[in-house]
Amino acid sequence: MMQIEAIPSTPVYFPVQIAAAAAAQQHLLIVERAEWLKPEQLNPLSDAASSLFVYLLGNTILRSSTQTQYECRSFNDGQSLWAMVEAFLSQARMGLRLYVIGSEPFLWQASAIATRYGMTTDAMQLELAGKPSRNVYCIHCRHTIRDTGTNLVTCPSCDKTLAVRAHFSRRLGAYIGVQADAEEPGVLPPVEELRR
Amino acid sequence: MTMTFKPDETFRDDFSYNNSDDAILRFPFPFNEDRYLYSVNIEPHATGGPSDAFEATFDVDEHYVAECHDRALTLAADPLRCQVLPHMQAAEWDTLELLMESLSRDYPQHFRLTRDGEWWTWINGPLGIADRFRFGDASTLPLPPFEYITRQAQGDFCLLDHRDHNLFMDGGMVTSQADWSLDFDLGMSFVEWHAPVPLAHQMGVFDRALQFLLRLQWGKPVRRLNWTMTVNPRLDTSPENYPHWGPDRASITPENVGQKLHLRVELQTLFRLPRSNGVLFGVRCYLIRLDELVRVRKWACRMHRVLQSLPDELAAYKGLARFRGTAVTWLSQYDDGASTAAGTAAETLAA
Amino acid sequence: MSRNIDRIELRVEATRDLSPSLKHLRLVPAYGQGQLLAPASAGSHIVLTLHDSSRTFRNAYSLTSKPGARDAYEIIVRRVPESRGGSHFIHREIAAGAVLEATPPVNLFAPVRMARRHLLVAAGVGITPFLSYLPELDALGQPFELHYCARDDEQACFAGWFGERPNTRVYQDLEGHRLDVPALLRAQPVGTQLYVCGPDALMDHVLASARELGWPASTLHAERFGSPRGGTAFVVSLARSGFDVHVPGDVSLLDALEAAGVHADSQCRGGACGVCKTGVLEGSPEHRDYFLSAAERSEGRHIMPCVSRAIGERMVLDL
Repeated sequence: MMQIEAIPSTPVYFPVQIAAAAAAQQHLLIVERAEWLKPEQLNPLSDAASSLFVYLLGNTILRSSTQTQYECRSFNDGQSLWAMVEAFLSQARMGLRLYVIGSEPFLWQASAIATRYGMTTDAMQLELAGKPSRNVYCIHCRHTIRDTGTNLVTCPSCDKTLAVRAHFSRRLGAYIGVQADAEEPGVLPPVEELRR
Repeated sequence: MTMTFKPDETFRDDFSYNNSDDAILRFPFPFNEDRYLYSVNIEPHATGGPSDAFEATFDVDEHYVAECHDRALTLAADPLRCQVLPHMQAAEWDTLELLMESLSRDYPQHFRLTRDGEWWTWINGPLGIADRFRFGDASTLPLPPFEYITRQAQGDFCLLDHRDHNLFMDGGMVTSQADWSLDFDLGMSFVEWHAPVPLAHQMGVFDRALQFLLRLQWGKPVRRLNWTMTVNPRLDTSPENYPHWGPDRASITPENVGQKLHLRVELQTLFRLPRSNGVLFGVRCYLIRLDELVRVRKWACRMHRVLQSLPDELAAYKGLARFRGTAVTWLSQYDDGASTAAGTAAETLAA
Repeated sequence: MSRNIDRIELRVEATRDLSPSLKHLRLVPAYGQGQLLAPASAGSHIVLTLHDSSRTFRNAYSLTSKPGARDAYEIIVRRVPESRGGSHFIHREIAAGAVLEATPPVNLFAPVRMARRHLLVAAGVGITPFLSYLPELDALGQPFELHYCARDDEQACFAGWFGERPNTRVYQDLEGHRLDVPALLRAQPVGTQLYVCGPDALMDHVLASARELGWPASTLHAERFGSPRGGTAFVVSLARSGFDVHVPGDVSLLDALEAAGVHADSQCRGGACGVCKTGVLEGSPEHRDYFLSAAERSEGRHIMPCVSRAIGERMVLDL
């Protein structure tokens, strides 16, 4: 197992802290798996009515052991989830805070949509959850390999074995993958699984 | 200095590139002491530096025509080497104006710009280009303005948007880079795109540089030098084409190191752009073979000492690990061990 | 010859009194036929150096001319009763033909090019930077609204600049009472950036309302004219130079230092950019800037001499 190396472009994640009602007008929380959200994370809004929206991927229902009122919607698949997020953002007003809990590719998918609607990074929070999963951008053929968990990956589009470097692009939501054995063909480091 | 262009020089395949004696003497040698340390090392981009390469705002040398041709080849194979995000249009025109004004002022024998209100006429003698267009109207140019003008300049150019107390790489023409990708880095902030550089971040180099650059003013450009080494005089050492040039690194032997191994120096210049309030970041690449470089005794000694004392992490990041030992051994025959004069300027050129 | 440019010379080609308190100036290159000015970005300002018989003023003015124009710069100067006197000087002394020393344009108030929408709020002469925004936002093709609070005479002056724009509203009252700031802010869609320029009271009210309504800090932009108010006279001792400088009550610390021949870096001269930050070795600064953090202010070890002064009679500076 290998520790993920961190360099200054590596994103740093923190547990989502929902702002108290006074600091923002509306809150949208997007969660990839219901069990990754702790109900107490919703507590700061227990006094505020109708300003919290929770969008969940998957059919499980949120455990409702919380005082906070919120509107919750579940989605069967990513496509319908992201379509609804776009619809929400297209109607939203300034004063919105966005919180996302999920795997790294999920977080940056949300971030890309929010950025298209002009949301700024200081209005968003991203919390990493689940086992390590990285998207890798093959710099040779520009294909994005999704949900990888090792230091070396094979690009399904151009067949090269890629070393996944620590350099991350927020725009692409992926790490750069560069041919691992370009200097000495066939000579590869051992494959290791990532751990956090 | 009269300049003869070498239009058929190549930076790939048969690698016919070489430097004339004049080109060697004006090479922007980056080391002014016997070891290399990161520093902010930014200075005003004024004339009168230790090399003629600093005289013009954008240096044009004997390799001009050949480099423009090499850029065209790279772009034909990979158009994503030139990308500009939509909100940077004003910066594109700023760049076109800056390059046209500078080149025509510094090299009137090669470039001419005439303005008749909004209608401009641009003549580029060495490339055989003559175009008339309306400034600000992209439909009157054969290519988007940034691509149009950077295809006629040596070196890479990045368009930086200044917002939120930060600089973002929101556009670029990048075909002569030392192992970084515009397509991947597009949209990154200053610290993000410099992330892979080891050691310097802990030293606070990039934080200080960013604060300085945010205050950059129009008419007061700055410059600094960066360096690495390349096997063969190849301009396009991009991550995209790593499969092509990667194997070269393992091909260095004691017999060929003098001819094949090149010192690669980047003259980086930064200009505040007037209409967009952005920053233009120019990266001009100079290549010199070791056996050309050692003809200047001071440079031979310094290069040997710098390479020998370079921290391993830096050598690894710059991609020098495979051939460093061979290069140091080869250079040692030219190092007489005596002290070297201050400054980077060349003295005499041995045969 | 250096390629670096510190000062330019501008000739006043024409002046026009827009109202008893507002004077418009058109500035062109002072010498040389066919000389071109640096093109300016939207939100830029220039700093004019004005020499009166006994004093030198350096005042910042927003460019109201179209961004990119290279034939002339235009500014509008309002005579401020309690100012340091620079605006009085311009109204009283400057006529067509005068040659003024100026900095090239500097910009601390540029529109955010990646925004989806822009909200501009101005009062009084605070409208001036936004006059340069209008053509730029048109060129960017991004939607925006301009809300302008003005007195009757100012309204008449500036109405011509706005034309028949559906996204511009003008309010009668300088204090902004007729402009419902919270309602305006609540109506803005996500992706909006806010820009405000005018008297401190208005700017503070708009920014505070925006924060309360959850606008993130990175979306809020203010251009403070930062004309330093006077105070009591004091003396600064310069630890490294080895002499003292007397700062009269109606002169800024920075102006006094420069008059005494001390070189101090500066840029905006309004307490916003941070360039003139200077160390304080003894004594207590009276902070009037917008740059130092709360912690730095309470530590009292730095001062922005362009706007701030000393508490008490003496201060020692690291100059």
